[in-house]
Amino acid sequence: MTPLALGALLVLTVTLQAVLPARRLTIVLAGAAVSCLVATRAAGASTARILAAVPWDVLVMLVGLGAVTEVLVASEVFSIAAVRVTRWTRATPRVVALAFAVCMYAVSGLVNNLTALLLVLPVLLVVFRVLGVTQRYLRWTLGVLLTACNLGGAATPIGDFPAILLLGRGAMSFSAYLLRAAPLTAIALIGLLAVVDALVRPARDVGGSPLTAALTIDTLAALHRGLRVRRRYLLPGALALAAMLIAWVAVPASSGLSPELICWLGASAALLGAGSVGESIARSKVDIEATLFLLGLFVMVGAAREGGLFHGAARGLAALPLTAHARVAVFLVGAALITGVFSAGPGMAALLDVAAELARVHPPATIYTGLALSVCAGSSLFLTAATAGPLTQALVERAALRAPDGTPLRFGFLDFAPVGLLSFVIILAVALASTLSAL
Amino acid sequence: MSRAPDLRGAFLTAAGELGLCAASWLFLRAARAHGAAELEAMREVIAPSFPVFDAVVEAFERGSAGPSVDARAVLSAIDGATRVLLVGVEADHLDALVAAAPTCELALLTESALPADWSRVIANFGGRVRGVRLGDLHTFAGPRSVAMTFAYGVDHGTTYVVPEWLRAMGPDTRPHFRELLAWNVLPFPMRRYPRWLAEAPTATFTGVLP
Repeated sequence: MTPLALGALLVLTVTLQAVLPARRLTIVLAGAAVSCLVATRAAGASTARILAAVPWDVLVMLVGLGAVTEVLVASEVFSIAAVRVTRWTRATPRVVALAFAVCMYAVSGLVNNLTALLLVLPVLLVVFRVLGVTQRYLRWTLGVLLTACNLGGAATPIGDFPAILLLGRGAMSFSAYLLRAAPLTAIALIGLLAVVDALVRPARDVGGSPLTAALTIDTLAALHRGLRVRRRYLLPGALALAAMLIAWVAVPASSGLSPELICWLGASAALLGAGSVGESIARSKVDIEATLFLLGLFVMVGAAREGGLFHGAARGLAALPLTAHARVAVFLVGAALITGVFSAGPGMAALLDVAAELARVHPPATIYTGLALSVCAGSSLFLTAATAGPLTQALVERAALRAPDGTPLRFGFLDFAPVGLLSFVIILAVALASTLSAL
Repeated sequence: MSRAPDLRGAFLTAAGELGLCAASWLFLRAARAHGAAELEAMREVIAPSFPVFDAVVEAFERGSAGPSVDARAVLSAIDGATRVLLVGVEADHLDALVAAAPTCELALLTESALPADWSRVIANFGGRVRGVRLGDLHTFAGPRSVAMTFAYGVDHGTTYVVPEWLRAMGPDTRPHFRELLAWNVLPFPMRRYPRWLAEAPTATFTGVLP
């Protein structure tokens, strides 16, 4: 009875936070407290044991990587790069769409994609306004950009929460994940860009002319005329990140220098190197909302684990009258759909325990990478599931863009839906094909 | 001509963060580089909504080469002041002032009827200018403080300024500044209704600077 009660509580909390995103933090924290209560009263667990099982290493990595990103943000490097990319594309609508997707994929693998997008989007929105883009162009360009961020986040073990969880919990080493996930996410991105560019052709009804292209580049240059790369922040941020990457790849796990300790040391060095700005970042720029949200989820998942919920789910999966391959396929599709509805944090936190059961009988690296890709597919299904989706929606609304015929341009849930569905199918296909072929 | 709506939106974007005058010169130069016909087409589309652009094109066609930015008169007027509050944006003039007055503390009112990303506007000045909201103007007032806006022409005792100047410099605020200056960025007459601008009696300024 207890596993069912804890499971129901988990599902109820996760559903409520998805339905009421404006109250998600209080809902998840309250759900975590009630889960602890149920687990301690009915399952003989203790709150101390549940809290001790929280993967603090993952939280340390999230906070640490966020801090390094903020140091890089202070260097103005993202805005300047966005302006340069636009100049390089000569403000050609088709090339702008492709170039920004590829750039955001690369950036999202190294830093917090939410922050990077927050800095790149204002530049892109100016480009859209001066070029005079259409609803089709806006939908597909921003939609693909969001998916590219998700794929970039899944490409490296430090790009986004699901992969960080794998690294932090020791499920996979840095190199093993990178070597397996990076090519697969790149294949998915190339596939998505090829389909969108060849079949959808978002830029086909964007007029564009040499004059609008010149105006776009001149306006962007004027709006950012005084921006300079601040080396005093770029150097500590970039050097710390590079040192962390080298250490994650080169330092053996047996040394005791674990991934989260490497991250902690690197983030501390970056913050110290940034001087007073580093202190300000440590005091006021830590993403406390995301940290508390994940803490609440981890506590709920820990309580459910104490009650035996995930063990039961894994047993149920194993008991399905299917072949081993089909069971894994069911798991991956289910993981993608669950993530699509509940978003990556809750999805991955709950599913990793089930994946651990599957990894006992299948190659762990294959199962975990497949799971990360499925979660990435789910994250790209709906605008609400994509980490940066609501932020992008808000920025587009604030920009009050209009099409050449004067119609207001939107980027809401339904506008993203076709892009999300296409992204979901392509990424999930890559996940299934790569996982099933490697079993 | 089919690009008309785009260019109005594009101009609004540039004007919000660069200023009506600076945006006009930027668009004029870009269009002129693509031929006189492009400039004429652009004028037909943009000028009815943006009279400053119309005035700038008119001046250009009569031989004006570009905005002449000379901060000497402003430096003389703010001599002895330690703080300058700026109301309105004109990028060329602000850049010149920031370079010419390295010891002055500068603040920019971050309110406008035109759309603007104020963090981006402020970031261009390398920490020399800070943003200030309407409700916090008093923090910048004092006997060695000057308030200044940009004027878009002076005509029979009327000075055309951004509407925020009238909101910021009401009877309660005016006495708190040593000088109330207008820096004229449009020494050409506007032929159209001064949309986006407000009329301020010239006598309410302690100086209108060329």
